[in-house]
Amino acid sequence: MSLALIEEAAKEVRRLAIAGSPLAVGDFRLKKLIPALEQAGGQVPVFAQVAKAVANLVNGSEADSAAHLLSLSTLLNAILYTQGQTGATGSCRELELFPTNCSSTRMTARALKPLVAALTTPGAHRFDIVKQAVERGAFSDLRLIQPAIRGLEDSYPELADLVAEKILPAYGPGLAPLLKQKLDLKGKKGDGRRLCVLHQLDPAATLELCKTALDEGSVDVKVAAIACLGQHEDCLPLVLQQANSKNKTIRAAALEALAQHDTPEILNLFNDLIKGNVFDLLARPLRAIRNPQVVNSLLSEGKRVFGLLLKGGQEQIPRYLEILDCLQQRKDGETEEFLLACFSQCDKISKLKSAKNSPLTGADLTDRLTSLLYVIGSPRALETVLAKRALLPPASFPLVLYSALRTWSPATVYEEFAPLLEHKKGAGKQKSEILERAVLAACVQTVTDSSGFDETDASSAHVLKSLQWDPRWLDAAIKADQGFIVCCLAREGHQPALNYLLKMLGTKNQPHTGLIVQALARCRYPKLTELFLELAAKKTKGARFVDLDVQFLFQSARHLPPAELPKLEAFAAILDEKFVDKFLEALEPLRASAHEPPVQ
Amino acid sequence: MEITEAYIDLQAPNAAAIKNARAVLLKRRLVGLFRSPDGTLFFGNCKGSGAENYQPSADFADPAKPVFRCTCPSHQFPCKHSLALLYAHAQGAKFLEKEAPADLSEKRSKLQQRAEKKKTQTDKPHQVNTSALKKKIQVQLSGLDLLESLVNDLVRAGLGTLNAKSARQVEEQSRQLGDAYLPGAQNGLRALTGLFYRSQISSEDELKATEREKNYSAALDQLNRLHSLCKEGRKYLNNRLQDPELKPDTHSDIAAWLGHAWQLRELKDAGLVQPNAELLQLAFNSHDDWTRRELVETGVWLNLETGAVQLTRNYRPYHAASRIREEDSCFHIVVCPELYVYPGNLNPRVRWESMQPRPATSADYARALKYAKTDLRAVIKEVKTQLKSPLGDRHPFALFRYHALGRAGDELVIEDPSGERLVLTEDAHDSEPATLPLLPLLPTVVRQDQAMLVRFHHQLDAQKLQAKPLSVMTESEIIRLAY
Repeated sequence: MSLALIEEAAKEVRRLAIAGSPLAVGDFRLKKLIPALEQAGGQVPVFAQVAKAVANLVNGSEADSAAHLLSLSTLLNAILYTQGQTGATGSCRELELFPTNCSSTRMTARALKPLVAALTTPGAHRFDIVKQAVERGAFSDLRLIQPAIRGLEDSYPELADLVAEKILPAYGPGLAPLLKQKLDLKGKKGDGRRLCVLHQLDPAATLELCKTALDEGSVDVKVAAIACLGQHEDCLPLVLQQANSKNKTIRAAALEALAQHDTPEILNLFNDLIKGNVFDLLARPLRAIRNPQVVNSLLSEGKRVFGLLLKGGQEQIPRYLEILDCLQQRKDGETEEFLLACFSQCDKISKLKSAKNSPLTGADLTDRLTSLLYVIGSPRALETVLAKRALLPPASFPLVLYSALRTWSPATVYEEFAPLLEHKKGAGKQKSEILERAVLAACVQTVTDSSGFDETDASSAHVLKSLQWDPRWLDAAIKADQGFIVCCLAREGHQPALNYLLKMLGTKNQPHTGLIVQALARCRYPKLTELFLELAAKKTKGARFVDLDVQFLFQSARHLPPAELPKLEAFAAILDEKFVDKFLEALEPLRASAHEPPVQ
Repeated sequence: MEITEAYIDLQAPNAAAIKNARAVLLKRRLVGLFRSPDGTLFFGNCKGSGAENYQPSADFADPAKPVFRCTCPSHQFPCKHSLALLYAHAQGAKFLEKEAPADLSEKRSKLQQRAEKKKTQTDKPHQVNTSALKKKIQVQLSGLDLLESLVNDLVRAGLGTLNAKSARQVEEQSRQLGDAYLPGAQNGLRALTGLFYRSQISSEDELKATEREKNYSAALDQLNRLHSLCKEGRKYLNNRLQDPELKPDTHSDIAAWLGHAWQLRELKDAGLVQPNAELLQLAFNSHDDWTRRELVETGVWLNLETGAVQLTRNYRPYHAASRIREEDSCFHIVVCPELYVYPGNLNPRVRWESMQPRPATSADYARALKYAKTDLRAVIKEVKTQLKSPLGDRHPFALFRYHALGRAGDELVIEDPSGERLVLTEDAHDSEPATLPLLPLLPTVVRQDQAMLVRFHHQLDAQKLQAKPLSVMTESEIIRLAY
């Protein structure tokens, strides 16, 4: 069959369909095809049909042109549909396969689609969806590989990092060719992550690529290449070169990679840099570095700068703070000695005014020193902080308080800090509030802190949980009308506390009913369940949603006697629908303890 | 019958119902779990928002057609309470034996009576109101006149004049086709106009010139189909007018094109029913067909009795989507006492009223592999015959047993033993994900002598007939490349 004629006719028909069928009447290009079509029709009848259809169109009227054009087009397409080429030239080579650590495709569409959407389209809660999927092993499905690779470019960095660190490496080295396919050395952070994953999958095979990336890559890709090459001793010279790069990001990456190693060249480099002006780049590497020479070099520079400060050189404040920044999280003996030595002069440095063009003053220095000593946390460090507490700025008060809680006896803590409860304004009131939060943190599961001081860092949290409070705190708190502290410290047998708590509940729009119920449970108040149900009914009546207060009130149900469970469940039946879910969830701990065997 | 969590998931109308049902269970809102002495009825009480507890139940009097009931106000069946009841059973909760409550027993017996009445009614010949039907056909014929007029106007003006605004105007007019009992024709016209604007109204509604240029060939093909629909539809409807029995055509799918919604009784009367069928799902897709304003779930199945590749289609209009059960991938063998087969097409649509799932075994895969076609030339010929019909399906499926999966040049190909080849390429039909990138990740066994489900697509401009791989079947499993 002379397909060329049919294709030519189809091309013209397409042109006329776009331009408008009236133009087909008398169209010379179509007319030209008729004789050839009629001739071919002698051999193949369908060509004759096409010739007739063309003739009808070009010789017809404009009014009928649409119908004729479509008839001709339908006929042509019907022929062309039977002539589609299916093959491919050349010999058939075996398909290169890269099996991964998964080949399952048993996930249903309902489970798969939301995950694919989370990895490939913008929207809320995507990180949670993907993280939960990782935890339940959902990424063993083959069909998630491509979406996961796309996730490397995600605009939400935490999600992209999760993909790079947890998801893709689990597929094994078989994934490497897929990742390499779309790796663009001039690309952005996504390509940098891609390189890191490739390196993680097969470090030896990716070395040359990393070297090429270091030479030719964009900044983001170079940073990734440096992180990879920094894991190989024999590639350190390449990374060392980057430590002199004009680009700050690259220099920082190089220094961070070099800080993991201990060669003479690296040590000299850091020693030289310490004397320079690049502490903003040095902070992270120096925090990680272990070599004593470098640490001593840093501390020597710190001593030198501190000496200048003592001579009234407030211009050195920013530099000194940068040096202190490099000492964060360090707990070695030399650092402690250095900090103690500087701290011993805190009375002098506190008086330093701010440097030119800088808001930082001597008080900030003192606060930073106090913070570093607190983190070191040795008895000597804490005692030193407490010894100088009168000289420290107000911002350091939380550190003083927590140092005291960690070091002094309960009685000493009480005698020192209890008077603060009476302060109702000014600096004293602020200290009183910090004290109140410390008591809360010690006694309650969750606490929020707005002062910026993390009262729940690991060591403090441990201290607070095992803390004993002097019994006199409760009476002092009642006297000073400090409701939170009374709630936290109320105990069985203390009638004034019980009276105080019941009086608190009587306050209109009392927002802390959950805390009060918890305290009453500790006091073994006999009518607690009835009180709880009364409060729950009052709080939920007319409320439009479950606010924090209602939520905490419900959660306090865990402190009620397990024997009261039937009463509570009966109450659930009459609760408004919008509260039932949260209420029943809150009863779960009570159910769990109801099923536990009694303690022998 | 065994009620597993996977079975319950299949019964759920959508993923949200599964999640909510599990939450009902977790929050211990089921108070009272009972089953009838014969074990076919599960019922209980469930705390809810109302003053009284809800009473969900799951009735397996006919295991192939479970009936879910509940006193809650939800429109979904099964609701989360009924599902929670079944999850409790699947997780081993203790159900006390108890006689069914009076109201439930009454409902069960009424259902049985209705089923028996239906059976006797189906045995009776169906009486058609011929005068009403003739009136309807006249209206449909007028509708076809309107369709022809719209199509001809478009062709006279030229596709080059069609833009987002004018496409939407034509779509407005297409509503009249729906009023004329021609929903199929209306969908066909919308499929044409949908090529000329983006799916959602936005400031970038208008396509770029390069995008419109790419769509012209597809648009012309769709115009051809609509033109043929007018011709064939007119012929068909006039024949129906003259036929005293006034039966729908069961040898082609012209009735579906015009929008006829086949009743299962009609298919049974026409002998289009296969008893005791077993089906194995080869692929699945769900997508938003915005030109139809419907969510569509498509299952591709292998009939283990006949070897035919058949399709299930579940259409959920936007306005009722949440109330119609959402289909999902199925990894079981579906056993149907009666499988209804729609007329026409290489891959006909099928439906069932009741079914029971059973796990797939290696014997099922062995049986399925035997049905896979081995002569690629014959398969291609069959596909081309389908394609050349103006109203034929443009994306037919085939299950093919290939000898080799490899590369020829830059193309991925499958070959039969005689060396006949088929190129595999992507086709973004129905928003399906890309499947070609998964092929290199498959186990080495797929290189040779396995079966592949492919969907064909013909590229009009390049004059190439190619296929997209959707799944690979081995002796022990089906590796799904899409859903």
